[in-house]
Amino acid sequence: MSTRFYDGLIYEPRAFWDVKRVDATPRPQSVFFDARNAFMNGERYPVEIREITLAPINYLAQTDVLPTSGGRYGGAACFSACKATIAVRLRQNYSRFALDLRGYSPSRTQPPSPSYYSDSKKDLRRASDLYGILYKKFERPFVLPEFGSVELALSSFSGGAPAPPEVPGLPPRFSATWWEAGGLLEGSGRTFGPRTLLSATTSAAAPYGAVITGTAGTAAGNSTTSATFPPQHVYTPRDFRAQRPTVQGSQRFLGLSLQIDQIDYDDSFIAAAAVYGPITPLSMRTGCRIRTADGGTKADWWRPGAPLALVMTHITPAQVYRLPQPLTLEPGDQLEVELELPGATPVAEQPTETYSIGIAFNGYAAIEG
Amino acid sequence: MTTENVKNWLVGTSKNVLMDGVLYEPRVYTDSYNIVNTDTNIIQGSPGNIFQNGEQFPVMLKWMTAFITGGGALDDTPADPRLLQRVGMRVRYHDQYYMSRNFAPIPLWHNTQTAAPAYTAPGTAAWDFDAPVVLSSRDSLQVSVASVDATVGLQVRAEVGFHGVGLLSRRPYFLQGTITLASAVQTNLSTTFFRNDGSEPIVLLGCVVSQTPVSGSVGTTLPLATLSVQFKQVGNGTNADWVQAPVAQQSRVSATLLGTKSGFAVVHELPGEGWQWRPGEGVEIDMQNLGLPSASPVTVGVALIGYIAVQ
Repeated sequence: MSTRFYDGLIYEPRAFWDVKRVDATPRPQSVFFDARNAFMNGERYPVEIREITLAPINYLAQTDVLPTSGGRYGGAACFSACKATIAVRLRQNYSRFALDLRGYSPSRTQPPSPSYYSDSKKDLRRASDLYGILYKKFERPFVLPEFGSVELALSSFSGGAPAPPEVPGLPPRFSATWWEAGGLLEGSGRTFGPRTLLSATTSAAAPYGAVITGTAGTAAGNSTTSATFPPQHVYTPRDFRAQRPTVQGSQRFLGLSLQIDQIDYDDSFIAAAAVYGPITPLSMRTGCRIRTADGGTKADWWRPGAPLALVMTHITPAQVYRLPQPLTLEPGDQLEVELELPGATPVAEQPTETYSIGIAFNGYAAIEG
Repeated sequence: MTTENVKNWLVGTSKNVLMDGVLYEPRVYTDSYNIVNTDTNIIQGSPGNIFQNGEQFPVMLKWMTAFITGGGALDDTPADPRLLQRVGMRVRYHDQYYMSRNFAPIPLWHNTQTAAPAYTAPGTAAWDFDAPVVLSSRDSLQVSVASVDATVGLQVRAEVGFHGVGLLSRRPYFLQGTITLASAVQTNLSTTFFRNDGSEPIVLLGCVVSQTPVSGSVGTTLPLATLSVQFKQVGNGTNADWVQAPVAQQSRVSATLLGTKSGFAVVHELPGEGWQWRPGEGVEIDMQNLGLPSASPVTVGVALIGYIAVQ
């Protein structure tokens, strides 16, 4: 473990992530994130970690307040109940005791809220987001060779719209833009979409299992799939190259924006009164897979399926802690994260209470050519 | 302007190394687009080259902002601001496109963290100037405001404030003016609110605009999109309007679009050092409907924000 900087190298974004889903018990629990060495740098390049992102993953509502039992089924209740310790096994603990998750100081990364725009005709207090925007700024230069390209794929999500009434208007849609330096106006971009974002018909197709909700009655919406990464969700290297076929020389990319339009999806829940709090942005229930296809390492940037909110670090609904000094994971280095969960007494509306927390360590791989 | 840049600039002035005779003044170029759900054509802006530098000095642009500033009269009043996700935008410059020739949903352009605290957010826009504005002794600012929300039954209080530091003393200065509007007619705030009555020039670093209802049955805040504003320095400087807008907007900009520091608008930071427009240069901005629901025509306001360097 060191704090070295790497200059004069090629950089590619990386994230080490995991989502831990645990059913609550009457007694407090202590559990490790341990899926396939999720936080181990298994590549041969050092990875400079810059941000830690934390979020409740796969909840239907951000804060769900049931009339009889208080706020227990929303992401906020789960997030505020949990604590975590981050460590390097047998070497360093980054805190002596487990920290309340909010203790990992949140940066100003939230998108503007829609909740102030309610009137008698619209109840936007329960809408997920004003713009549905996610943005990752490449703080280390991400450079592709002349014919280099990137493949981007989104997963399906769990939690279709309520069966009655049907989804009015449009199903959720997503768009993406890769921001690029150069051009007459000092910037260019490759824009994709909007395309329909499909919901999972089975929890096997949903990357984080069935959506967590305190209310019954959610059913598949009108655009479903049984695939975790359906082909309709993939922006292929061919799509990528087709946007600027005449570009010459290396290209430097400045960032990636993703936008999920879930206006009508939100409105269907609001109309059906199916949840009592704001709907979660679908970026907290949708995974992603990105890899450099030509040029660079040709490797996945992170283990496929990382929740969008956890890897888009500059504008995101997740909580982002920016490390004051980057931390470098050398090849084979591994972080360890332990969650402490309070005990919970089941209530009638939902006998099983579930905690589902995602964490990601975001940074850049420094690649020698 | 970043804190570090302000510090360097102030230190430079004290050493007389920056007194090169260049004055900076903010500039805002804004237009609005009416978009109907049945129309899939490309919608162009107002005639008259709105997004063009029509002055004899170079302009440096740093920000592009957008927001739904009106519309939705058939079933939504005011329009649902989320519908900005259903409008695509592209920017043209001599048939080159920034960023892409495809129409990107407007929120995709948002690359700046601007969410404000919950209790100030809905009715407030904060704008940090990208270059300091020097308000000399006895200079003032003329600020004009109008709110389409304001009626006899719903009076609206508009507040416009500037903040900065003394060029010599380095002490902070706050200048704020308030006016209550009872109709949609444009009204000037008294210039006494903004006059520099001291003995040293004030370096203005930013501006905050907000709107609050003072009567009627609405809540304690109003969305800012219905308030529009125009600025002009009286005394030194160009004495020209800071806002260039089409006649239909009576040369004012929707105050929401000024929130480059915090507010509700989609805020796009232009790449690198920004765009420099020499006299006569400019861009054209087009919009397209990307699936607005029926009966929800909307008006989208767009602004390019920066400063002019006057020698």
